[in-house]
Amino acid sequence: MIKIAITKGRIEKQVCKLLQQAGFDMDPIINKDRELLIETKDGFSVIFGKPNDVVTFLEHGIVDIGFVGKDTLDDVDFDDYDELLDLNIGKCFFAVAAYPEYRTKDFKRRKKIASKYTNVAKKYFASKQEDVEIIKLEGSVELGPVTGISDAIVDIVETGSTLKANGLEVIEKVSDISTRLIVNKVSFKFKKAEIMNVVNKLENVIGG
Amino acid sequence: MTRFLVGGHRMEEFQYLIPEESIDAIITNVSKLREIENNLRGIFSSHGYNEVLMPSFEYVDLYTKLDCGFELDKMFQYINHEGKNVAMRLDFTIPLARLYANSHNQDVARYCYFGKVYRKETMHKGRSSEFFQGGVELMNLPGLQGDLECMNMIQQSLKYLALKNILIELGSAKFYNRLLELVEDKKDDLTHILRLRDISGMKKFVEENYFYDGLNQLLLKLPTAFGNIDLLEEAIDTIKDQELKDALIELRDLYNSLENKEHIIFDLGMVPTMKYYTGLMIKGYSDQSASPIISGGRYDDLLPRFNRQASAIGFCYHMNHILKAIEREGEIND
Repeated sequence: MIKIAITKGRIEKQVCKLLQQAGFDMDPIINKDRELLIETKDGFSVIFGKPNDVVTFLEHGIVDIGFVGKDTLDDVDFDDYDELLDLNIGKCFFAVAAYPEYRTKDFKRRKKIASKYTNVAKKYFASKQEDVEIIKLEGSVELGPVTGISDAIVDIVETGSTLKANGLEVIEKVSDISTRLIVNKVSFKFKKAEIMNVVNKLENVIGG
Repeated sequence: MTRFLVGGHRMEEFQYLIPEESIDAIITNVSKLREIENNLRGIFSSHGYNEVLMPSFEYVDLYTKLDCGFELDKMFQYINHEGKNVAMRLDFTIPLARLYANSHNQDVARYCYFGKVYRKETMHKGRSSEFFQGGVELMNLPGLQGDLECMNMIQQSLKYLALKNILIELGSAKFYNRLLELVEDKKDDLTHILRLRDISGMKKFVEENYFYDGLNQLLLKLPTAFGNIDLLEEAIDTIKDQELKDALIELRDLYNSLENKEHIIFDLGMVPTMKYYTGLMIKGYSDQSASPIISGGRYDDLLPRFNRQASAIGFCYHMNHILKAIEREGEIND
């Protein structure tokens, strides 16, 4: 039995498709209603959760495998997991975004940066030896510059259309994001064959 | 302040809440803890280990200035009357190394200890900041002889831990350090990839660099290179680099000398958790614990940092994790 946690929503759909292509039975998941825990013919016991919760379940050894975005892994303060595969899906990137004036404006004070990903934002500006003030916003981070609570934002950029619609643009790219397969370090020791079966089959469908 | 009515009396929060840092586990299982502790103490003392009671407070400098890899933000500290930073004990190994280095003992020394270490952990993650440990430090018994003494004690102890599935995994800091030498200026990248056992990342790493073919083949295998003695034998047969090979032959010699070879696996991709590890590295796992229940290794590089040219090896049992694993195993069997 392998216990798996998958991030709800888009990652869930993309991962299920990949697992299906890899030859695993995903019907009970695709046809699920409101169940939180589903068992499949391949001996998977699957739960679905918010991205940070996927990491928490894995950290506590409640699940062996987690499917989660690199954005989440970059921001959580737990890093004692194995990150076996980059699934090459859910591709996007972290970026600093602001009104175009941001590039040339002479700030006479600390810049204010709004982000849902405060650790990512903090680490990025620290790596550039810049001291900034970070303001946590939970959603619609674009509101930062729009309302004036911040000068710029650090956020995930996929198509850039939300930025554009609000007159904002990408100032700098921070890092790439995609969906990863992570494994609890102790589970990997005890269930190597079962976990590698999933990993190898997924590797075949994601290629390269 | 919130007040609740309990049996007609108003209670204030301090009367029923404990701080989140405090341990909450060792209440129900104290007798089990003491039983394990006593069994371990019996094994240690039968091998000639002297139990020491170490101070609860140490200078922060002790943990930071030796470049051992301790994180400052994990320490509970205060500024004492001298204006110096003092931390609650973060680990037993460093204070015991100091003790031995400053003693005039030129012989082999055997210390064992039981007690708590204190490390700040993230809140609301189901982790406490107090860790109960029991372990040993073996000073000045270099090489196979010292490694073997420690491994035999570990093997003897496993039956007292009352856990069904245990793995004792061995790695080599010598092997790891030689790998870093071979990738030259890409040391940090390799360490990062190995720590995450990142298969995709290793592929990219090998593609982007121009190492020789034999090294590429080895690197690609490392993220999943753990398993029983057969895996070690195969690696010894295929690896050409003499230093890498010698590091693995040391592990094989140790294995072959063990009185009891049960539970043992090897991990060629193991990354040292402490910067001072130089040879054998040990990790013990239970399938009921998400963190290792035993850890340790040879650290011949530590005593020289106290200006004492002597070898050392040690390991410890993470009692909180062991107790939690016992509880979980009990729940499954109920």
